[in-house]
Amino acid sequence: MNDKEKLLSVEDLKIHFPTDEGIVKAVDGVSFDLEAGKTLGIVGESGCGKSTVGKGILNILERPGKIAGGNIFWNTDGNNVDLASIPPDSSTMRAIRGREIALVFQEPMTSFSPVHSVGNQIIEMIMLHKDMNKKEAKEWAMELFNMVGIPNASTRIKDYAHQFSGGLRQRAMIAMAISCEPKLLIADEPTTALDVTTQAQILDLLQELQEKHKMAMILITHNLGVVAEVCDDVAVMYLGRGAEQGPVDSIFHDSKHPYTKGLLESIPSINSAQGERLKSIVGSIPPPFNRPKGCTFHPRCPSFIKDVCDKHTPQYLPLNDVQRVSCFLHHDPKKEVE
Amino acid sequence: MTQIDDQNNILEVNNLTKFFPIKSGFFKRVVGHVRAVDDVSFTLKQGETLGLVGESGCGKTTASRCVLRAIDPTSGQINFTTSNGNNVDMAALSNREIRPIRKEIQMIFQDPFSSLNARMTLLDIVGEPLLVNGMKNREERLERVSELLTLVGLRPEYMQRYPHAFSGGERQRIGIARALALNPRVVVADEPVSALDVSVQAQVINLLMDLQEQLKLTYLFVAHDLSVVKQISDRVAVMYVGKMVEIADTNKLFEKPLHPYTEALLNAVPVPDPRQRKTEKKHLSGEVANPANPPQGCYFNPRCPYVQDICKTTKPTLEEVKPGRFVSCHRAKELDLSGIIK
Repeated sequence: MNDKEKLLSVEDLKIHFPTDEGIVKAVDGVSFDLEAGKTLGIVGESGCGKSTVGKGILNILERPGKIAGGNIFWNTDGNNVDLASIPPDSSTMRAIRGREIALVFQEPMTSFSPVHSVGNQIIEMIMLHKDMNKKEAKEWAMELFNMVGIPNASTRIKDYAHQFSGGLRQRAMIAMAISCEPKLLIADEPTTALDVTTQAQILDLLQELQEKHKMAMILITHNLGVVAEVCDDVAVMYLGRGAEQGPVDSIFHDSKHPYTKGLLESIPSINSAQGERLKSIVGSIPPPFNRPKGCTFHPRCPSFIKDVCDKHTPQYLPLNDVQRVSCFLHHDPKKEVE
Repeated sequence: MTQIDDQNNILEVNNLTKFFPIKSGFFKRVVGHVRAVDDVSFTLKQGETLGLVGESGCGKTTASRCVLRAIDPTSGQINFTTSNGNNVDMAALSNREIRPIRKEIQMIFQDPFSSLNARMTLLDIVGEPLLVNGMKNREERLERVSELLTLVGLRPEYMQRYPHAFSGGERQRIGIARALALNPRVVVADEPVSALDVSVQAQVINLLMDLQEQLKLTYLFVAHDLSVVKQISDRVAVMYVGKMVEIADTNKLFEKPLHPYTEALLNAVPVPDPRQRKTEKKHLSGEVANPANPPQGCYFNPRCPYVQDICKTTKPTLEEVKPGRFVSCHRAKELDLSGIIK
């Protein structure tokens, strides 16, 4: 892949939260690239830092979090900006945030203001980023409501967030996110709070909008089923680090990292026999202040190599043109130690 | 005296109904009812796992709590065979009469973070049901708790610790140990794994299956995740807006559902395999009906792709169309619906 095709390229991103008890390294070296119009899935379990990556790209980290290292190159119309190096409140960042990169949050209930109508919140955003007066902005907002499948747009636009059902609220959230026709949509667990039938509707909508507007999308989720259904590429994270990434088919059928393999085996399959025991990963996710030395996965890893995995940290290196993995099973430890 | 027809059944729920009143105004007058559980019947066979599935608000949790009498049902029968062979209708018993039966039906909760008292040690948490039921001797209790903790895969040395020292999966094990303390025969598990991470979820599902074999437990397993239900259940019951729409053996249900809602639910589950991406998508449109103001006729008719005139006027009833297969649909016999396994 040549550099010009990359819309976003994240290199060795580190996001740390200094607290009284020590530094929580929520994201500790993550790299990935995204081409225009493609969908990247970021998967991992709770505490792996996947949501923090999403917020880090937009630089809207909660205090005391800050980007402690690495680059986030945002590449549009020949302009190459490193989002990690510009201040979060700078005009450049504010022009990109919402207009070029938009975010859909996990909980649609808490991400809308309860005291302003949903329509007004969307209109406010349109007027901020687009050269439109209030009347034009309202018309555009109604068109967006139609686009995302909210019925009776003209009356619904006056409603407040609590008057919407979960599915409709998520649709309104998406309408707001796409209102400025962003080039990249980051969807953080967009369907986790929803029922399966609603989830299917929302995923359909996202794919449809993506095709229509040629948006790139980063889908952050813990649900491997959702990833398999919509993503082109997948990055798997474990405890703030990238474990493995590659095209969706290679992740599901030719996974290299023991964690990815374990994760895939531990999801109950529709085709397995009733009563059959699942293969599970031993142990549980360690607390944030007490991360294992060496490869952070080694205490749970079935292919653990003594004196290697517990002493040295594997680097996140390319395996071939498309796959990248951080595991000593695939990289010679001697070379890396030097 | 109540009667259980089939000797294999440990629990029979007949026409269970639970309406929650909607109150309004200064005098809190009742202006309507949320029909949370509306004329639901099902049975639990000795030693089986019945999966109860449906979307949020369909009444699956309310139904399962009525079985425990954690909520008093509005009407209906809950016939239970006690360990000494008596048949009792739990719905008709007073709170005092139900006490000795409570220890035979226990519950595992969804959220392992809020269902354990943060100020009690493991010994107190798991030992409390023992204490309440008359095991006054501390030594005896200590022994039983350590036995229970070993059973669920926790180290007995941890019993003086508080819940905050444990991860989500371990906490759920504590909840399971507490539920098993009194040797129940039926365990109602309400979404026991949905708050857990995927890698930990598998451990807990395996544990539940092992315990069932070891202790001959009967599970009522309430969940919304169909692949988990498929893994653990012998039979599956599907609910929609307070009504039971279909009950069948797990494999038969997944192979060939008889109710259009079951078909839609099965096909909405994302398959974790990019090679099986659905080319043709048939997803439900619209929203779940409001249980306070359900539509006329079949509650599913506004969303049903196979709707006919009769569905809009007449409520279907749950009928046994084949042995062991119950479905509540006017067109169950003529429709050819597709499942997701061969």
